[in-house]
Order: sequence, then C-alpha cells, then structure tokens
Amino acid sequence: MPGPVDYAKIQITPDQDMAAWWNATKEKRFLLPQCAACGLKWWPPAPGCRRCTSLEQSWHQIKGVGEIHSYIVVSQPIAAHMATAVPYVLAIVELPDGTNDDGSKTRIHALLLDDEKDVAIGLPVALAWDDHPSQPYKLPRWRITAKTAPGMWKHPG
Amino acid sequence: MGPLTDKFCIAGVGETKHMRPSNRTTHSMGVEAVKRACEDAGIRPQDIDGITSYNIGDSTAGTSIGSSLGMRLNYAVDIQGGGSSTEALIAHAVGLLTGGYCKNMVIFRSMNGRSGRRPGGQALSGPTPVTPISTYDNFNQLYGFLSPGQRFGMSCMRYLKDTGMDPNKLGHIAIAHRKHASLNPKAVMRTPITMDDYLASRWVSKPFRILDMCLETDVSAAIVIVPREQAYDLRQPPVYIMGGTARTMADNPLWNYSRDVIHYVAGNYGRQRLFGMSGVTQHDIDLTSSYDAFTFTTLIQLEAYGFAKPGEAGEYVASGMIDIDGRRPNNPSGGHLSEGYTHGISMVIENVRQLRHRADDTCPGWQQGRHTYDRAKGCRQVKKAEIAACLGWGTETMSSSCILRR
Ligand SMILES: [Zn+2]
Repeated sequence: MPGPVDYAKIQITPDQDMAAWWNATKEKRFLLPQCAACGLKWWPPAPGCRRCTSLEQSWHQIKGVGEIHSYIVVSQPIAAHMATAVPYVLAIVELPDGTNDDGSKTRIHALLLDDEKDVAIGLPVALAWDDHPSQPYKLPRWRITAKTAPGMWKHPG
Repeated sequence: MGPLTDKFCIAGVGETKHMRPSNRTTHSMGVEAVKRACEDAGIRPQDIDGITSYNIGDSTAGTSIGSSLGMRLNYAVDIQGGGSSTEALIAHAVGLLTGGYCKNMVIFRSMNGRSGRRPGGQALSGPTPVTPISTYDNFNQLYGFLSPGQRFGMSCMRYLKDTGMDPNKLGHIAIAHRKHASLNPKAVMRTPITMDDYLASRWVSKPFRILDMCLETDVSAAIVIVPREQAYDLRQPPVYIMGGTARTMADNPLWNYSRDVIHYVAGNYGRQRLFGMSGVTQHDIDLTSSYDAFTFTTLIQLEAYGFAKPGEAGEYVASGMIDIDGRRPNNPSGGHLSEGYTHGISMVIENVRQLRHRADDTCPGWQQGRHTYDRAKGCRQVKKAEIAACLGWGTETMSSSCILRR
C-alpha cells in the first residue's frame, strides 16, 4: 500500500463550480455533473453541457464502482503532500453509471489504495474515502476489488 | 495550396545559450534572443514593428523586450501557452502581415524553465506545496496528478495496451535525439546513449523513465518573419512558410480522459489541413521536428500526422528512419530531450537552419553552407533538406504545425 497522503499540506477552497461537489463528499457521495436538459453526464464539474449547451446542471451520484482504463506509477513526487505517498498509482477509471444514452463514456481520475504489483488495466475498482482531521471534506480514493479480469493488461517493465 | 503559401518567410533565428541556471531575468534573455534573430536576418531591431510571444505566466511581455531594443511597435500581443504556441504564432504572423497590422514580426519565448517555474510547478529544491484546490481545473492537484509527464503517461500506457507496442521502442527516440545532440555544440546533453543506458534509467512516472523526459533549461529563442518581397536583400537564404495549423483542438479538450480513444491526439484533426494548405504530402517531407517533451509525444505525433500508420510508430522509430542519416530525420538538434527545453521554438529554429543548409555544427564552412556530412567529424547537416514539417504539441487535445521549405 502506498504511504500516507499528507493532507495537512493542502488547502481546499472550492469555487462556485466546485462547491456542491465538495460538500457532497462530507456525506461520502461522489457526484458527476449531469445536464438537467438532456441528461448528459461528464467530468470534471465544469459548467455547460457540451451536447446541448444547456447551463442547467444537476448532479448524479455514482454507485462507486468502475474499471481501470489506464494508469501510471508515480515514483518521483512533485507535490509536497504526496512526498510520503510514493510510489503511488494514479488511474483513469471508467464508470459504468457514467455511460450516456449516446454511448459516450465518463472517466474520472483516481488515486488508488493499491500498489503497482496489483494494478492492471481492466481490473474493477470501488470507491473508498480518506478522512483527515485537517480537512472539512472527505477525500476520494479507489481500491482494486479483483485480482483478474478478462482482457486485463499490465506494463511489462 | 493555400492562398498564402510561400508568401512569408522565416528570415532570422537566434537564441541564448541553454543554461542551468541562467542567473538572468527573462527580460534580459529575451532581449538577447530577439537581437540575435534580427542580426541573423540582417534587420535592425528598430526596423521590426510587430512582436508576439507565449508564456505560462513565467516571462516578460513583448512590449518590454521591444522597448529595450528601441522598437516602435504597431503590434504587440503575448499569448498564454507552452507547447504548440510557436507554430500557432507563425500562422498568426502570416495573417497579421497579410492584413497590414505590421510590416514584419518577431516571435520569442523566454523562460527560466529550470531555475524558475519548472514543469508541474515544483521548486528546484523538490516537492512543493500546491496552490489552493479551488477549481475543476486544479482538482488534479489533490491526487498529485500535476506534471505533463504524469498526464501524458496515462495516454501512453493506454496506447501500449491498445497497440501491443513493446514499450522499449520508446528508447529509440531518446537514443536518436541524443546522437543528434552529440553533433550540436549548443546541446546540454551530448554524451551518446545506448538501449542499455535507456533501460537502466530510473522510472519517474511509469511508463516514463528519466530518459523518456525532456530537459529543463533556462533559455530564450526568437524567430523573425517577413513577407517574401522583404527577404530578397536579407542576410540569409529565406525559408518559406508553406502552410500550417494553429492550435487544432480535439473533441472534448477540457477532459482528454473521457474521449473514446485517449491517445487519438489533436494532430489527427489537423493533418489534412496542414498538408492540404501546404500542397505537399508526407512523402515530400525530408525531415520532421516533433515536440519531444517525452519520447511518447514524438511517437504519437509521427502517427497523428500520417508519417506512420496507426499503431506502427514504434516500428517507424525503431527502423532508423528518424536518425540523422535515416530517410526522414527527426529533431536533428537533439530536441527537448537532449538539446534543451524551449516549449517548442528551438525545433522550428533547427528546421530553419537545416533548410538553409547552415546547421551550426563544427564544420568549418557551415556559415557558407559547406558541410562534410561526416558525423564522426561533427557534421549535423541533414543530407537532403528541402522541405520540413514542424509538429507542435500542446497536449493530447491541442496541436499546431507548419511546413517550411527552402
Ligand atoms: Zn445537455
């Protein structure tokens, strides 16, 4: 398991576009923006529906499961709060309940709780949360939930 | 061909040394680079009336550079951006000069990319506190997902899965560019490397090793652009601008990672416009320059612009094609991987020198275009250099390009 993230070293000060998203984390709810007019879901929570251009936005609470679409292994930290966490695995996670009615996908970025030896493209993951006394919000993490999956792929190096 | 093909030329190029660190301001370096580019062209800085530049909040405005060189400007605009900005500003210059907004133009980049603002935002001393996490745009900071190497690594990893390419093929790009840098007196990293060296180099952000990643340097560089009728009496053989693209964007650029294929990069959307406007095909291109912030960004651009078939860029780079004596050399200067880092402008400058047949190597007659073509003696001139393609990269979803000819 990667080392701890030093959350005391960050400040979270949501702007108007992010406030509702961060507030939902307090109840361990992970939201996707969803167009109130046409239903499109997307990530990240930026204003405006790229399909119908409506500015009316609602939120979709995800079930908290997904599949690793890609990943990297960070050995050299750049941010101070991650210096104790290396090596850590970042993933792009495809959300089954982020699939839109036109077939387009929604994928998010995710900080895994697992080590490189356990990670592969195609594996299923589930949402978990970090809690830190320095932060009023909960911090999303993801955990691998199976050792194998059809078509899984791993960097050979 | 486009309506402006060959109507404008790059008449002068110049730069400071690549320094680590410079101990200079971006103002001081910018003045030097612009002055050198004007000297190279044979134009007094005071006779330039348009200036543009690009920066990421880490540089000095063109108005200040112009003021220090006595310019009375009719056009001065600085744009935000790093990679792909050079080719975009070349297109911009062609439009402005056509419109009569100024009579000639200098484009510069000045950056302390090593001692000042480094890629990803960290300090020279190491990991640095991130700015407050406020916007959707800087949410990435929460996860330590900050640097270009991390972002493009995601696309590279998926490319490797989807194509089945042997990841070690990326090493051929690092090796070729380093060989080229060994022939470039300006380059920071000049010691040749082997595949063993590449494979022994440490991981920074898997799939990238340290030798997959560009240098960080403090440097300024500049380009002078004039209408072709102004170029005849100047000091250097003109290099004509055949066509280009200016920040072609892929679909959903706000978030690359929800796109159907995350490594289907912006160059795919610009390719037909580039070659259509320039009136040539890939077969006519003698040399390419890629934005080699990473080995992978070279690989994927060569594919996006149609020099290699989808999924086959690994074979392309492993075949020796991109070597200085290969069929279509790439980055004969050593590029960002081995010469130094300028957010793209230095690769355009190298193509200009190559097309003049005046690569600034150690051949005694290089300034007159006399080269030995003997690599053992340090010649860096590409043998056949009539037409070059500059493949600029901003991100997976942003690309600019241009085609130049002698
Ligand atoms: Zn909509």
